[in-house]
Amino acid sequence: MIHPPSPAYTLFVEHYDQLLALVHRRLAVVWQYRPQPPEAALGEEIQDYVNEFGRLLRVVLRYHLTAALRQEASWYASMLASRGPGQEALALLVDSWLVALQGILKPPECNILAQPLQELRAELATIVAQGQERLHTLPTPAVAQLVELLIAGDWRGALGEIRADLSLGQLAYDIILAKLLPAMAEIGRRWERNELAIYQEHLATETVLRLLASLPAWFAAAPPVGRSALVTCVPGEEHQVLPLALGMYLELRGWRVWSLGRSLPRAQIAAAVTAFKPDVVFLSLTMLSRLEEALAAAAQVQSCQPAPTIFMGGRGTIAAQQVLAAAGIEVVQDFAQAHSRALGGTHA
Amino acid sequence: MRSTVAWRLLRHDRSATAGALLGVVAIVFLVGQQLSILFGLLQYMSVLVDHSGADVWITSASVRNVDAVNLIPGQYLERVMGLPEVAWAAPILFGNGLMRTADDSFEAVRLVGLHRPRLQGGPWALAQGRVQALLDLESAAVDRLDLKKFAHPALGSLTEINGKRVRLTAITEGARAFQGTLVFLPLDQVRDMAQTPPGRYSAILVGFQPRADQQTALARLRALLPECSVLTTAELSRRTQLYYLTNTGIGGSFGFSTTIAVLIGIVIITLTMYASVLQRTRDFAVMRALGGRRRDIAVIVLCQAVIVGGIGIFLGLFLLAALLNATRGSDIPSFLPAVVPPLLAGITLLVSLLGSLVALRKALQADPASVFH
Amino acid sequence: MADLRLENIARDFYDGRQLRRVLFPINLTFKPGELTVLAGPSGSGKTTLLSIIGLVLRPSEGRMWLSGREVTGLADDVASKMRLATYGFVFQQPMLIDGLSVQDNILLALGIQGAHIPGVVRQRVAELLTSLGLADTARLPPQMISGGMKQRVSIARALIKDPAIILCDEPTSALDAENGQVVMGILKKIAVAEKRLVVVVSHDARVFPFADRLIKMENGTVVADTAAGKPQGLDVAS
Repeated sequence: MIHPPSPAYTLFVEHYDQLLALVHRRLAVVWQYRPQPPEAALGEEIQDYVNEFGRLLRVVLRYHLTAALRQEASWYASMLASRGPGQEALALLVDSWLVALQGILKPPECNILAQPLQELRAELATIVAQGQERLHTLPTPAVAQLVELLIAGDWRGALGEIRADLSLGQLAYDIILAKLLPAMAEIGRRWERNELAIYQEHLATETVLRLLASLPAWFAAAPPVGRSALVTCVPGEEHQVLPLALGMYLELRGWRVWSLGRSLPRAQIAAAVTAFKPDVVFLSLTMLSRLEEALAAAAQVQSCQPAPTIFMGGRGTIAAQQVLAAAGIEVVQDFAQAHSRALGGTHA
Repeated sequence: MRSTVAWRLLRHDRSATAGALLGVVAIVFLVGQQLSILFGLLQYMSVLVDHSGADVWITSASVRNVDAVNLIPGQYLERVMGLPEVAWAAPILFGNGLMRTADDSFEAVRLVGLHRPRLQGGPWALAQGRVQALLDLESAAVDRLDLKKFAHPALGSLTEINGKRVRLTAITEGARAFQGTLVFLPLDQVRDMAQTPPGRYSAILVGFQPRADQQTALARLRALLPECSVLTTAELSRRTQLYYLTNTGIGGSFGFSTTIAVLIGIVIITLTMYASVLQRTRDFAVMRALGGRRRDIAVIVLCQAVIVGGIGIFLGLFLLAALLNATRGSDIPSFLPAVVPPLLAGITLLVSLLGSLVALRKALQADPASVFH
Repeated sequence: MADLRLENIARDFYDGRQLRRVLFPINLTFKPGELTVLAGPSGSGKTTLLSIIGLVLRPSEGRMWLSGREVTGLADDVASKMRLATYGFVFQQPMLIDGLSVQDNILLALGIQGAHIPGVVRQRVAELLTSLGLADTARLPPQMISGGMKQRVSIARALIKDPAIILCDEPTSALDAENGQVVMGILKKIAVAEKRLVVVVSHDARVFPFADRLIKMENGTVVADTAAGKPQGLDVAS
C-alpha cells in the first residue's frame, strides 16, 4: 500500500516548475560569479542532470526515500565532478534547491521538504569522498582488456575474448555476468569519471549491443525452459544495455524473450504484453528518478489480461524496494536471481 | 564637503532658498531703511547743536532739550569769557514766528538768532548765497528743502516774519530741524520778532582754547554758573534726541516697526527653511544612515543659514545703499551711521541662525532607520 | 573582511498603546564573501533586523558583535562613525540627493563627517562608475539618469568607502526585471569576488538565485535558513 502524498509534497509538485527554474537560474548565477573564472559554462548536459536531480527529488520526497538520496548523490557527485563544474557542483546544486525550496515555499512545508537536502548537505563531504573512492575501484585485467576492445568498437576482437573464455569451459550466459556486465560497469565508471568522450561511450555501447545480439549465433542456447519474458526499460529510462543483456542472458538459458529496448511509453509496453502474453515482465530501472513512471507502467501492465508477473531490477530499484513491493512488484538483485525467481513465476 | 552640500542643496531648492533670502533681505532692507529714517530724524532733532561748532552749551537749568530752554542773562557771557580755557563765547536766541510765503500765505518757522559778527551756530553749509549775508540786519536764510513751503521765493526777495521785513539772502543745505522750519536771522532781529527782553539769550555757545583741558574747563564753567546747565555739545545733542525719542512716540513707533520687520524676517526665514528641511527630511535621514552624525546635519543646516544670511545681507545692504543714494538730498530724512551696516549684518546673521533653529530641530529628528522603508 | 554575530537579538516597538515585539530573539552569524537574502512578507521583521544589523536601530534585547567587537549599545556618534567606516547601504529607492551631482552623491558617503576628499578619490569615483557601466555620468544630476542607473549610483555610493559590509533594502523592487538582474549581479560580484558581507532584504523571488544563503522571516522570527545545519568550510559558492 503506497501512502498518499503528503501536503508538503503536494505543494512541492504544485511549484515544481518554478522551483526548478530557480535552481537552474541560481546555478547559472553562482557559476558565473565564482571567485575563480569558470573554465566553461554549465553545459547542456549538466542542465539535463539538474533536471534529473529534480525528478529524483520528486521521488525522494514523494516516497520518503531519504537514504536513497544519499546514495544517488554519490553518483551525482562523481558525475558532476568529472564534467567541468568541479567537486563543488553537487553542493551548489543542493544549495540551489535549498534556496529554491525555502525561498518559494511557505513554512513549515519548506522546512519539511528542505530537511533531507540539509541532511545531505551536512554529509556532502563524506559522500563526495566515497564517490571518489568508488570511482577508483579498477576492474580485473581481463575485463579491462575487453573494455578497451569495446571502446575501440572492435566487436570481433571482443567476441574473440568471449570465445576464448568459452573454450576454457565457461558457459555463455555466465560470461555475460563475469565479463560483459563488469565491462559495461567499467565503461559506466569511465563515463562517470569523464574519461570517455561521448562518441566513445556511444561506440562502446553500440559494440556491446552488437556483441550481445550476436551471441545466439555463436553460442548454443540451453534447452527451452518453457517460460517467456518481456524485457524493457521503464518509460523515460534510456539505459538499454542492461535489459538487452538480461534478455540475452535469459535467452541463452532457454527463455523465450521479447526485448523492447530503451524508453517506451507505458501504453506501448502494455500493448506488447497484451500481444505476446509473456509469463514475466522485466522492467529495468537504473535511475531512481524514473520510479513514478516505473510504477505507472507496472500498474498498466498489471491491468493487462492475463497479467504477467512483474520483476524490476537495476540500480534504481535498490532504494525503492519497499515502494515497489507495496505496488506488487518484485525486485531482483541480479540476472541469476532474475532467472531463478522468474522461473517459478506464473500468470497472476 | 558639508558646506558644499549645503550650498548645492540651497542652489537646487531655489524656491525655498529664494523665500529664505527674501526673509533676510526683508530684515536688512526694512530694518535698515527704518533705521536710516530714525537716524535721519535724530539728526534733525539735534541738528543745531551738532553743527554749532561749540564745545559747550550753556542753557537754563535742568534743560531737557535744546528747544525747551528758558532765557538766561547776558552777563553770563562776560563771566564765561573770563575763564582762561575759553577761546570764545557767543549767545544764540531762539524764537517762533510766522513767515509770509511767496504766495502770500504764512508758514510757522523756528527762528534762530545769531550773534554778529561771529554768527556762531549759524548755517554750516549753503546751497546759495554767503554766510556773511546774515551780517545784514534784515537778512534771513532758509533751507533749500524748505523753499517749497515758502512757495519758492527767489534769493534776494523780500518777505516778513512776525510783521518784520526780511530779505532772503542765503539758502542753507541740510539745515532742517525736527521741531520746525529753521530760519537763520541776526540775533537782534529775532529779539524784535519774538519780543524777548534785551540782554537775555536762549543759550551761550562756548569754544575752548585748543589746548585747554576739556574736563577742567567744563568743571570750572559749572562751578561758575551753578544756576545753569553747562553741557557739552554731545551731551546736549544726546539729551535732546533722547527727549524726543521717549516723549514723542517716535522711539516706540520706530522700535515697533523695526521689531515687526525683524519678526517678519525671522518668520519668513523660519518657515522657508523649515519647509526646505521638511522636503529634505529623507535626504538628512540618508545622510545619517550613511554615517552622518547629528552634528554633521547641524553643520549643513547652519551652513545653509549662514549662506542664506550672507547672500541676503549682501543683497539687502545693496538695496539699502541704492535707496539711501536715491533719497540723499531729498526731504526724506535718511542717515545711516557707519557702525549700523556691520551691526545690522551681524544681527541679521544671528536672526538667520535663529530662524534656522526650528528647521535644525526638524533636521536633527531625521531618523536613519526611516530610510529602510 | 568582517563578520557579524547576533545573539538573541530582539526588538520591541511602542505603538502608542502597548509595547509590541516585532523581532523575537534571533541568533545568526553572517560571513564575508556571502550574499545573504533576507526574505519574508511585509511586517515579518526583516527590515527591522536589517536596521539593527546596520546600527541604525538598537535592539531591545540581545547582543551583537562586529568582527569580534561588541556593537550592541553604541552611542549615536560611535554608531555613525562605524557606519561610515564599515557599512555601505543600498536602499529600496536609490535615495540620491537632488541637487548633488552623481559624483557628489557618491562622495557624500565619504565626506559627510567633514573629511577632506583627496583628488585620488575622485579618480576612484570615475573608475567605479565605469565599472558599473556609468561612465560619463559623474557630472550629471540624478534626475538626468534612469532608475536602473540611479540604483547603480547608489551601489557606487556604498562601495566608495570600500566597506566590509553592504546592506541592501529591497534594491530591485523599484527596478524593471532587466535592471534588477544587473543590480543583483553587481551585488553578487561584490560579495563573492571582493569577499564582502552582503545582506539583501527582498521578497522578490527574482533575487533568490543570487543568494548564497537565504533566510526567511515571518512574524518576527526566522522560519527558514538555508545555512541551517550546513557545516562550516563547505561553502561552495564563495
